[in-house]
Amino acid sequence: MIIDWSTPLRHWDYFAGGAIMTLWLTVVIFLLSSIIGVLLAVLRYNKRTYPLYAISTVYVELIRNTPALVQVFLIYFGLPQFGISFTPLQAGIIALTINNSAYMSEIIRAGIASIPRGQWDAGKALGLTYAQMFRHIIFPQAFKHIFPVSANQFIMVIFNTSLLAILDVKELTDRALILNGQTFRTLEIFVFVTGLYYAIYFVVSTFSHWVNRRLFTSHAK
Amino acid sequence: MISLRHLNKSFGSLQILHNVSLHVGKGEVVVVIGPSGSGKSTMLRCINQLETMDSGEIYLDGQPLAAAHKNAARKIGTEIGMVFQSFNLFPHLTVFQNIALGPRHVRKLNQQQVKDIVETLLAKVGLLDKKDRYPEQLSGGQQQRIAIARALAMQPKIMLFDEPTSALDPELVGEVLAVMKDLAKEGMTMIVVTHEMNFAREVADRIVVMADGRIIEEGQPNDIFTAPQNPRTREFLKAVIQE
Amino acid sequence: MDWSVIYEYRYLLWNGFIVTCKLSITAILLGTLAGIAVSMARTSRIAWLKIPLTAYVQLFRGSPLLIQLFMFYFGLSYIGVNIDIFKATALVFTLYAGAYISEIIKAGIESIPKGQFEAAKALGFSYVLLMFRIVLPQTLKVSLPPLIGFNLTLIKDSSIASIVGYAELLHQGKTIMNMSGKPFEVLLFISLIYFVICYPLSMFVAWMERRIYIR
Repeated sequence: MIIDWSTPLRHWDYFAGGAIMTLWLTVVIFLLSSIIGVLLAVLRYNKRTYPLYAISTVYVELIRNTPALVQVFLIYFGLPQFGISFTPLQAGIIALTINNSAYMSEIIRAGIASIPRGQWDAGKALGLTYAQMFRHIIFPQAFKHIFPVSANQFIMVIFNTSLLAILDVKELTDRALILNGQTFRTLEIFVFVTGLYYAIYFVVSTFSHWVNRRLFTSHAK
Repeated sequence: MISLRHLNKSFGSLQILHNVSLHVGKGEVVVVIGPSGSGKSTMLRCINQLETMDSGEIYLDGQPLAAAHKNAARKIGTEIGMVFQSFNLFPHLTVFQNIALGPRHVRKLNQQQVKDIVETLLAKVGLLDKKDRYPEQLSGGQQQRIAIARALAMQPKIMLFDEPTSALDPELVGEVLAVMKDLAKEGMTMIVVTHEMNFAREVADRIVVMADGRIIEEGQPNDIFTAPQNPRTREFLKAVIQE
Repeated sequence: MDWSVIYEYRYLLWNGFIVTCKLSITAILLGTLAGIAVSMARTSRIAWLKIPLTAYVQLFRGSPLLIQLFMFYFGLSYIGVNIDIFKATALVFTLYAGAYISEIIKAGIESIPKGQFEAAKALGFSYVLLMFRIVLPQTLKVSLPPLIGFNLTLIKDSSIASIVGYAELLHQGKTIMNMSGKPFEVLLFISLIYFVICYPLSMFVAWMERRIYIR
């Protein structure tokens, strides 16, 4: 058995394309799921709007307590049973967006709930509307908590996209498997791809720590 | 100027306010004292609609304050100012921005007007040099003075103080009380819930004693402190004046 | 929708469920042991262990579980090591779990005020005594919610092993899907099983976090 690193290296552009696909998928999924997540967080914030609170809670709990892979299967293989079919790419994005939106909603909701009640009181006592309170008082403070946890979640989505390899969407893991099927240089290929994933992880992680430090340090004496 | 009539408020099965009625005239300084849990804070919070009362009416300058209206607390915020025990300054904004927020976004004044108001008030509470600092860089006494300036920036008709010095270290209490005394001298209508008996004696036009969710006694400071009528009042004063 | 397919294939589903449990429990138990050991080593003064262990943790947290499974399962047989699928999968899951758990526990250890370490040193405590009697009991209390939360993630992640051919619940589900032509009912039922296991645990975690916060 000879270890031959030239195989993965020769195909570096093929893998680079895979990495770009992975990142593109991640960004699309993360953005869409954040928007849905904000909506869900608002619905779940107050028990007063009961029917909406109940529906969104059921949605969030169902999604968070079942595996992402099962959700992908349900969308891609299960729905055609009712005549709804998606392309692999659409199904993958929809499934992972639904999945991530449940987690994002909890992150956002927890961030807002962590603001002490006194801040709301002070805002009301000054005569601010809810919209104004959110914009000037609540959201800036909530974001300090939401950002680092969201960055972590972003990384989770990057890794979740690897599951879409089974749908052959040509992201990084999928390409690794394809090249492996052609050249059988398994160890070299997977070491290379692991390295690529780690590089992405490292960059995202470092960047988010840097942003966290720059924007959100305390002004303490 | 402001009248409370037959206020009742319960939290779940616990009734906090029993049929509370109070009238405060323009320029009057009313100090509310009494044991913990007597409903003093709740009464204050009902006035500016941070809590909604179960029954009763509140009249400001003869006009009823519509309690059921969702935006009630906010409209009232522009007429009634409140200073909280835990200051509740906005930690992510500078001192200047904290005070400017109300005038800028609620009263919709322009930048120059806002600047004038903020700087005048900061000078009044003696903290003009701190205008670009953040709350966490200041002492408790300084933060509470900023909180008073923030409430005053809305030019309210009445100022409510909910135990403004209870969360402060003893040596910082004086600077806050000094600001409150000046405010009283200038003729601001004030309702103050506090445990600072000396302040009450010096500054109050009238003392109101609450216990168990009811007003049990009202009167001139001298009368209340030297010759309280209600036995409960006597009990409370005895315990407090010990210190 | 035709739910009789669930009854028809109940034996396959039950087998899959048992295998999922086997994998999850193994990963949780061994992963926790590994995590405790690694976190203790990383917070000790043994310098030469820190770098390789940090590399291990970074690697397993910085790449997808699926890639790790492929790497081990295909890679090992590529270099001639023959290993049965259960052992290989269990190994990867243990390493994966160990990395995440060690981070959780390490954070817990670092949250203990330095004064306690100093006091223990002043009292002449050995490192082992310090760890087992003082540090770990407190750490586990603080770390318990995120630990259980991660265990939930592990249970859900066990479904990923189906892709490499490990015969856990989802893998059986795929087989049944193809045989019966009723993917939706099968997948929904499998989701339900995961939900029934995970939801009570997640409620328990939420309850625990509320209690700690109120304190």
